[in-house]
Amino acid sequence: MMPVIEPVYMGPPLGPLSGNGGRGHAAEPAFSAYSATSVALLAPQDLPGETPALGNCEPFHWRYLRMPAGTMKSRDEIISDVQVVLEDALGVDAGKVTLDATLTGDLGAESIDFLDIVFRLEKKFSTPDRPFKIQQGELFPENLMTDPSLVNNGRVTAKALAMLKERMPHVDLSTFEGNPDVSKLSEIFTVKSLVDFVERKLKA
Amino acid sequence: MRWMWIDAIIAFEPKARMVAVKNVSLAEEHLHDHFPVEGDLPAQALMPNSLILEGMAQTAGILVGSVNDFREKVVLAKVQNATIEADVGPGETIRYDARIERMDALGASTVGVVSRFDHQTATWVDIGRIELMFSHLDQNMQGMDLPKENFVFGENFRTILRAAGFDRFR
Repeated sequence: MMPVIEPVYMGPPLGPLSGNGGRGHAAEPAFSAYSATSVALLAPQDLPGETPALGNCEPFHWRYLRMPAGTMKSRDEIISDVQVVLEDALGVDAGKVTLDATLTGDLGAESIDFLDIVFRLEKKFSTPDRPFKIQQGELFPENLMTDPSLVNNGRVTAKALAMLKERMPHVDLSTFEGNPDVSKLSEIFTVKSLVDFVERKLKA
Repeated sequence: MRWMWIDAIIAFEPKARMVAVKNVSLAEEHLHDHFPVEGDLPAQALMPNSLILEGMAQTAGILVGSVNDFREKVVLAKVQNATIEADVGPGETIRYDARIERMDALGASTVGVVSRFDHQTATWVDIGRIELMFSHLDQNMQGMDLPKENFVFGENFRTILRAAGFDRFR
């Protein structure tokens, strides 16, 4: 007889479904980051009794379902997670966080918000077996202003542009290159660039 | 006199957690203004929530500063979230339990629980939660003209920190 398998939630404690500051986005689905873990928990070797006979079928290997946690998120899931992070960090309405919205221009981010966003992204995309750690200068550039070979007379130099392109493939510099005014630099950071950054990093 | 809104530090786990208490007293002038008699309304003495926030910011700020032995200029940069669900009046004690959630060279984020001592049951009752972000000023404002000396954790501050019993934990 086939064993009856009751799905059991084995992830971290869920906690109360509040704490979104009343800003209206839905609570996170409990399974998003842990679906791989919960599937793996149903593997036959973990169950009491015999593995069910499969006749002449090719044996089904549960380990195929054991994908590393973190790679499970689709782009749509990443987009919605990044949106939640930005709503919480910047206190903006969900509707304003579109893919082409700029963090400073459209969403009103200030300098400290960038650090807040980094901390929140780390928390959002870390799983128990795979920490999501963002190094200083990895997502947003640092110390450009103090180096005259990188910023000169309020203009971002060619050297700095080349460096940004190499170190930050998640940002689109094509418009900025035409007029590399340093005061416009923060506008290269759009919601899409954050999504691209997270997606690239999760795949790495 | 420095603007100090905690009375004593009662627990300290280096780089992780600090707990401080504040006794609220009718001898404090701000309680007389918050709120005075107004028309038919009687006076109501309450610890202002903004000062409860300040108390948490000081507890968490000292904790963050202690990580680098008070060399960094630690300033409150952002209140991520603050919820206080009950009033605190004269004769009551507030407890600030602050923990570092994440910290790097640029700054730190902290999570704190505010409790009030209930004299009837002699227990601490949680009344709020405050999440803060601190910035290391020198790291974030590079190239700006900032004074060299640490104006956040100066000598005056050290004196008060000693009075609050911080040295017991060192």
